[in-house]
Amino acid sequence: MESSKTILTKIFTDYYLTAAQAKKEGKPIAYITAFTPVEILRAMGVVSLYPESYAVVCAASKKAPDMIHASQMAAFAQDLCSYSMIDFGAEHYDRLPYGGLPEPDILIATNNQCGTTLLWFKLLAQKKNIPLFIIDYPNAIGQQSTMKDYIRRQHKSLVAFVQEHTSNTIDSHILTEQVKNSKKACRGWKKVHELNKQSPIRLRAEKLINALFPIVAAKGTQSACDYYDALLRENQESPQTESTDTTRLLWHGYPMWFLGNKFPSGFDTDFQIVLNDYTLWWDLDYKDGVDEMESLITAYSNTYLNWSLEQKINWIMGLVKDYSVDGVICHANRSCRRALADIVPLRKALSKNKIPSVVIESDMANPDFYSKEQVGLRIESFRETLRAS
Amino acid sequence: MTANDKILDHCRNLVSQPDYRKEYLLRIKDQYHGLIGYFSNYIPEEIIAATGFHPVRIIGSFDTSQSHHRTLFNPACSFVQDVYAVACCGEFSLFTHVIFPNSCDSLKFLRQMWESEVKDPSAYTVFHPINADAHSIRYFAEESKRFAGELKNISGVNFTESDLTEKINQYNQTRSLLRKLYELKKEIRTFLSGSQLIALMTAGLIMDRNEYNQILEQLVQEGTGQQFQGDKSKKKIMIIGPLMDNVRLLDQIEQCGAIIVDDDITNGMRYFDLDVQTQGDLYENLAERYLRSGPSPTLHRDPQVDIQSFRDRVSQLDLGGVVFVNQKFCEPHVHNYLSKIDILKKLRINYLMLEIEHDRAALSGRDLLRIESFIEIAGRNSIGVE
Repeated sequence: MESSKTILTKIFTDYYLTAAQAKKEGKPIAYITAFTPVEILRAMGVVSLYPESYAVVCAASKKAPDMIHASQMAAFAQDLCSYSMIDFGAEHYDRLPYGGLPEPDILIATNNQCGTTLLWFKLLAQKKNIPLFIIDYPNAIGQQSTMKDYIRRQHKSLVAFVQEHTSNTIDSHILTEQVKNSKKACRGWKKVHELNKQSPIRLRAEKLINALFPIVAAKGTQSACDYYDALLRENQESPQTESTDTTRLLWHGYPMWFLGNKFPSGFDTDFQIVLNDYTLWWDLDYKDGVDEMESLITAYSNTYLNWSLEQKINWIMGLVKDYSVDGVICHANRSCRRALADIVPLRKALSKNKIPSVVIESDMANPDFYSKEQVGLRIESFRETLRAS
Repeated sequence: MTANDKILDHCRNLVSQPDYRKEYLLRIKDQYHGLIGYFSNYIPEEIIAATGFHPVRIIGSFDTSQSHHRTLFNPACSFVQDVYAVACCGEFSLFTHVIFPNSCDSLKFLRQMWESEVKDPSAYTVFHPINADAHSIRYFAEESKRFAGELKNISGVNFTESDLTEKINQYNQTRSLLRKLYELKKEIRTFLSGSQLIALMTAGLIMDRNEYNQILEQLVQEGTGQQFQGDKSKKKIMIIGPLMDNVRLLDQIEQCGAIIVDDDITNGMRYFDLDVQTQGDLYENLAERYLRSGPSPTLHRDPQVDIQSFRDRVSQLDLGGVVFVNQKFCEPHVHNYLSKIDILKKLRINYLMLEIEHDRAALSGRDLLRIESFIEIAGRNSIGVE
């Protein structure tokens, strides 16, 4: 049986090798945003790449400042999303991780996470003259049939768009397989998180962050399912090194990709992040007992950032309870306007339940907006608050 | 003071004096079931009007000096920051409801904060599509019906198809009159300055629609047939940006030797482009008009079509330059700027980007200097000042 580490390495290598190989072989390549129904594209033989994920790789390899600077020199304003700044800056940068992403043939963007990706992909489409398809997911749709029909029609149009630009048709067997695997991978991913409901925790938050890539970029594949099965299997047992007497924290929002551990220092054995809710945003709700297309509609409409405020707060408060959280650290990530909306109401809800919280203002990928000293002070005073409570 | 001066003063005050605006709205409020505040060009005003409410566009120029203790995290745009600050102090209590669009992330941020922190007046979202294809029109027609149903429930007014047609005709008349005024402006055949025209246009988003159409008719009649009245020595410029309600800033730009002959702003051309057809399904007609009129950067159209139409438009205007006036942290319009500058470079049209705080009444000395030098070089076939 392969270890999770081996499978992860394979998934990562496959992703970049397949992309490079696809370009050589003339296979169609799509750039897609994080919550695009990739299952449809895979069922149509399209190699799908995630520029946001690539921005994360660049940030983690400490290349973000140079790329962001390159974007600024090309008239991009500093207050734009750092992912998009990194990717536009990559155009002017020649020492790219993995040699950069190959040029796409088509672009597909969705608004179920933010408006930035639409603007980013529109600009990309215009500058490179590449066909763009945008899917509109109005909000978390619940049972509204008009919205469901609207999204279903858009998914059909996506198929027509891909066929028009690649001549590839959809293979319904592959689609069935993809949706089945996505569902399985999401369940596996959730179960891996749930290990941390126990004390001591089984996986430190940075380990969960490192395990995110398959659910983002390989969802729908058997490898992703195998990876989460292996991870689950390997972490069932209680680690000897972790303490049971610990203050349990939830990190709300994006990690900081440019930091070695993806979170600021100051968290140790007695003051631990047991959960980062951001990694659970990828646990999509693929419905059982419905056809594949219906399952995709529900999954991609009900993304965290597309939820109503009430849904978001209820979900996080549920996590606080289920994971026995003692305190919450909210990352006010200046790159993501959509993700900022829940911080104030969340803190109110936490306060009502006597759960202390603190806000750290920084950025997910741009270290220029990170002050180690100030963040350290905030964390230290938060520790004091928690000790006192 | 002439009759026209009085009209223009009234419009300017409605736009730039929040107390004057409020007083006016309180005065006319009783003619309707109530006042409904709304954001964005994608809320079908005709439906609000048909239910007996008066749709009032939420614009800025607030006095936020008393309300800085309630702020949103950066980088919510400065307009949204201002609206939130004054909303927390009860500025919008004269509205029965506030209608939000499905538009930029800053407004979505505000929508959720409204639900949590402002609460009163209650908020409603119209989920307009972001594409303009046939599926989207069909969906928006359904969504508009849902919106009409909600308003009918609130008001108790069950309007008929002919009531809606009447309102569509009334709003079409506004659009048609504004188009005429803009044509006169492009040819510099009206006494109105660019800033006056934009103030007039913006005041219409607040004013009683009958009163407004009468004013427009009067101004169009006076303009039509008049000989050239403008100053030919002034540099013709176009302004591009989001909601532009800072009339003083526009005055300052024109005082530097420019004349604003066209715009691509929320409260300009994008508002009155295209009419709603009155034959057939009215909701589909409304949906088609709203989605196919001059698009804001938050709406998606084929980027190559956008490039071509922008190129055609600016090429026809004999422009000295283009001034992008962007509110701080307005993400869609930063992207709009980035998407347009390559076209302008190719056409060798000068451009300037001004980034402003929404509540700042006047330009800084530094920005004024930038405008003066921009106007000075405008039309000399060089490229932009970024």
